[in-house]
This record gives sequence, structure tokens and C-alpha cells, in this order.
Amino acid sequence: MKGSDAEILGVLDDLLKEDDVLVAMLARKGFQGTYDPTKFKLQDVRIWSALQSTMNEFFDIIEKFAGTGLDKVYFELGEYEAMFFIINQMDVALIVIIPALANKGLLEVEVENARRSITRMIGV
Amino acid sequence: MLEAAVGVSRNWDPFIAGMDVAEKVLSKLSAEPKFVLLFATIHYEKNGGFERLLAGFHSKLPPNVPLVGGTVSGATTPDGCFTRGAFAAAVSGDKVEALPSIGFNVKRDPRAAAARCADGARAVSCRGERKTKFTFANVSNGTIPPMPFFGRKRILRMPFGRVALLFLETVGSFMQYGVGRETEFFNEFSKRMPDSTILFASNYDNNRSLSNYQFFNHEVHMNAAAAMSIAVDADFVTNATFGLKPTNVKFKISHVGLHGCSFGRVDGKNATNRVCELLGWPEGYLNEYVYRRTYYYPLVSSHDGMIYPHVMGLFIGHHVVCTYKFDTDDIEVYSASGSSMLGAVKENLEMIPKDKKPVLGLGVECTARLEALGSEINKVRDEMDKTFKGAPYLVVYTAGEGLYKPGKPASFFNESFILSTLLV
Repeated sequence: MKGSDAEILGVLDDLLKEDDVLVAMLARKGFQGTYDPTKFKLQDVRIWSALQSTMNEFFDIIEKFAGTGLDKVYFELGEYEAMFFIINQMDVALIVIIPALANKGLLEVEVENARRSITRMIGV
Repeated sequence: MLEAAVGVSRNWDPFIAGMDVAEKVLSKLSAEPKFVLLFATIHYEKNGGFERLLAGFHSKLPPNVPLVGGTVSGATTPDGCFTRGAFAAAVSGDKVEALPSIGFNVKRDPRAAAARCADGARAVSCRGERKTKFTFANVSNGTIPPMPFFGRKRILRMPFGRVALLFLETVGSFMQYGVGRETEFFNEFSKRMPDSTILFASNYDNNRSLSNYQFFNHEVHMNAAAAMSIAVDADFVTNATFGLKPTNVKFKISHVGLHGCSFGRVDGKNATNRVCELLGWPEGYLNEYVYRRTYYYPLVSSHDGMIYPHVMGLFIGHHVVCTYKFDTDDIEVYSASGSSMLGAVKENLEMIPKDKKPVLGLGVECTARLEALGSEINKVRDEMDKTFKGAPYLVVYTAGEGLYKPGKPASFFNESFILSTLLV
């Protein structure tokens, strides 16, 4: 895969500078992702644990939607919302967690910009 | 000769962003610009960021080039769609001249602010030798007021909503919190600029309605209005489109207050409850998320052959507060969808005459549409690219939009897409 971790972390760091972006990471199947947990602002560790423990199953499920045009997946998790922007035909995803009351539409525009940058970096 | 350029900077440092966006714009022009419109998202607010943004911009801009602008929630440009950054448009050439003007205290006395702003702008607008007079004006939008004991909230469950509204109407207006009073400003401003087409925008932040700023040359202001009056030997074609559909849910409002922006009764009943009932919203639906829902159900008043969509922004007791003044008491609920919003962009672009070449597209689009479309806003850019074919354009996302054409009434809206295209 092209694109250094440093470049990708730079894009994720830009997202994490937004007040309402609590987590931004690039996940691959097996949770071998690119992220810097020291910059995460998520207080609720249960969500992070759930993400770690279900990531393989998540990719297994979304792979079944290959060819259907699946592009984004949203989980409403009480006070938080997790957005999965799929990259590279279902085996990589940009994951962002925001507060449920955040301005999701505006943030989504920048998450989409981040996805496009990462897609260019990894040469999909 | 008439040239235009649009630039974007994504740098987080305000001074560098200012320099960067100035360099990008100036590098695309072969002559010194006659005017610049500069916009930025609220991200630069901290630590005097907007002053530094302007300082950075002016460090690259030749002296005495007029500049106005303000904060917006985002922008669509040929470089992409963004909800963070600094965005500028500039025009140069011997066919154009421009003059900036400013008015102050728009929430306290919008008519006086409009008079001052228009007096400054008329010097160019009234010059008879140019073919077209066009004015871009941006004005401070409303902010959610900090209510004693409640803080800043969109839903205030209280028994005496009318008292809170009176507080807002008096103390709030004096302190310049609460509704923006843009319609009062715009009506007066357009009366004083009768021969100029006016594209009007309400400055905004990142959809939190906490603060917004206006830029005027080297200065940063709050609760102000800044305008750029332009005279040009070319055509500016300006149209507003909506993409809204009537639902046939109609009602009559009364107990209007807060400068005409709120109502306490719907068909003689408690307005908050009755609106929820008419929209089929279950109990509990009315929470701090509400603005995500009200975007899709604008309250529309109609007159002079135009529709005027209002977004419900606050619920104070049984009073519903919208973003601008109601001119009629007969209301119909309209609805919007993602595809109808994109349809409004296509409809607007089709109205641009095809026998002339676009030099610059300058658009204002409601932030409600941006929040509703999310990343799908890139489809707006795709449509703009198809029409502008490499020519620059800048669509900024605002809290409200307005349009005045000579001989027609001034119209202020929410949920609209208004595009002015400079054509040669």
C-alpha cells in the first residue's frame, strides 16, 4: 500500500483539530489501522473497546455488500455517532466518532475531504 | 478586460492562511484586483485569528484594494467543498470599479446600519457610465442568546416564554444577541440602492449560531454589515432557487413577537405543541437535535409571487422562533429532500444565458442545505463544474440569503441557492 503512515496521520490530525471530531482513524481488517490514540478525545472507553472487538466482523459484513454501492455506514451510539467512510472496495475504512449533537453534515464534508486525500495517498 | 479568480487556503494558522489564499488569488490575475471578497470559517476565531487572517491577506494584497467579507460555514469552489478554511474571490480589469462600505449595530438599529452602509456604497453604484450595478452585502446573523439560568439552548421549556421573548427583544437587541433582523436591514438597504442588483448573505459560524464576523478592509467587526458595491461593463445574472415542495399542511400564526420572528399561537393553540402535532412529531422529538429536522420542514410564507422559507430555530416555551421576520400570518409547511436540493442547483444553473461566457460565479447557499446534504454537497460542485467549465466560482454557505433586483421587492430567504454570474 502506498502512502506513508506519517502522511495519513497528518490528514487524521487535521480532522482531530475539529472540536467535535473525537476519534479519527484509518482501519483495516484485523484492526491494523493507522491512528494516534494520544490525540483522541473520546471519554467513553466502551465505544473504543467495542470498535476494537468488532472490527473484523464489521469488515466481514460490509464485504458482503461489495457491489451494492455501500459507501458509508453510520452507528448512532447514544451520545456519540460513529461514521465509517469506506475506502478501497471494503477492506479499509476511515472511522470518525463525533458527539451525537455535533453538526454532522458540516463535519461530513471534511471527513469526505480526508477520505479523498487518503484515497490519493494509498493509490486506490 | 475582465478577469476573476477564486482561491482557497486550508492552513490552520490564520496569518499563513491569509497569505496563502491571497497568493493563490493574485497569481491567477494578470492585473491588480479591483476588489476582493474574503470569507473564512469560524475556526480562525481564537486568539484574534480573524485580525491575523486579514493581516496575512493584506501582506500580499496591493494597498488600497477594497475588501469585504465575513464568516461563513463553508464554501464550494472548483478546488472542492470545504467546511474549514479561507476563501477569496477577486476581480480585475478596466471594465470594473468597486467601493466597500460598512454599517454598525445591525441588531440594535438595522435601518440606521443600512442607511450608513448604503450611503457609502452609492458612490459607485450611482455612477451612470457603467452598464451594470451589482452589490454584494453581508450582514451579521442572529446568535443564540445566553438566557439567564438556561444558558444557550435551542429548546427552552419554560412557562413564561413571552417574558423570555420580551427580554430578548429589549435587552437582547441592546446587547446584540438573538435574531439577526436581516430583513429590516435588507429592506432599507435595497430602498437606498434602487438601481443595483443586490446579493445578500448572513454571516454564520459552524452552525452553532454563537458568533459571526464581518470583514471591512483591514478591520474585523461583529454585529455589522459590510458591502461591496460594484459597477461593471458586463452582465450579472442573479437567480434564486429552492427545491422545496408544498406539503399542504397550512396554518395561521398569531401572537407574533421578537421583531416579527416568533409566534406563540398556531390556529389559536399553543404554537410549539401544535406545530409538532401538525408535523406528526411524537413527544420527545423536540430536543436539541431539532434543527436537523426543522431544515427539512421550512415554514413558508408567500407573497408577491415568491416563497419565503423560514427555518424554525428555537422553541421558547410555547413560542416558535424562526430566523427572520414573517410578512404574512398564513403559513404552509414545505418539505425538502437531498434530490430536490440538488435539483434547485441544476434549475438555477440552467437559467444562466448560454450565449455568454461566465467570468465569475458568486453564490450564497443556505447552511441548512449544507448540513442536510453533508458530503453529498460535492454534487453541487459537480454541477457547477459542468456549467462553469473552468471559470472560477465561489459559493459560500450562510445563515440566510437575499436577492434584490431593480424594480422588484427585496427578498430574504432561508434554504435557498442564489447564484450571481458575471458574464461577458
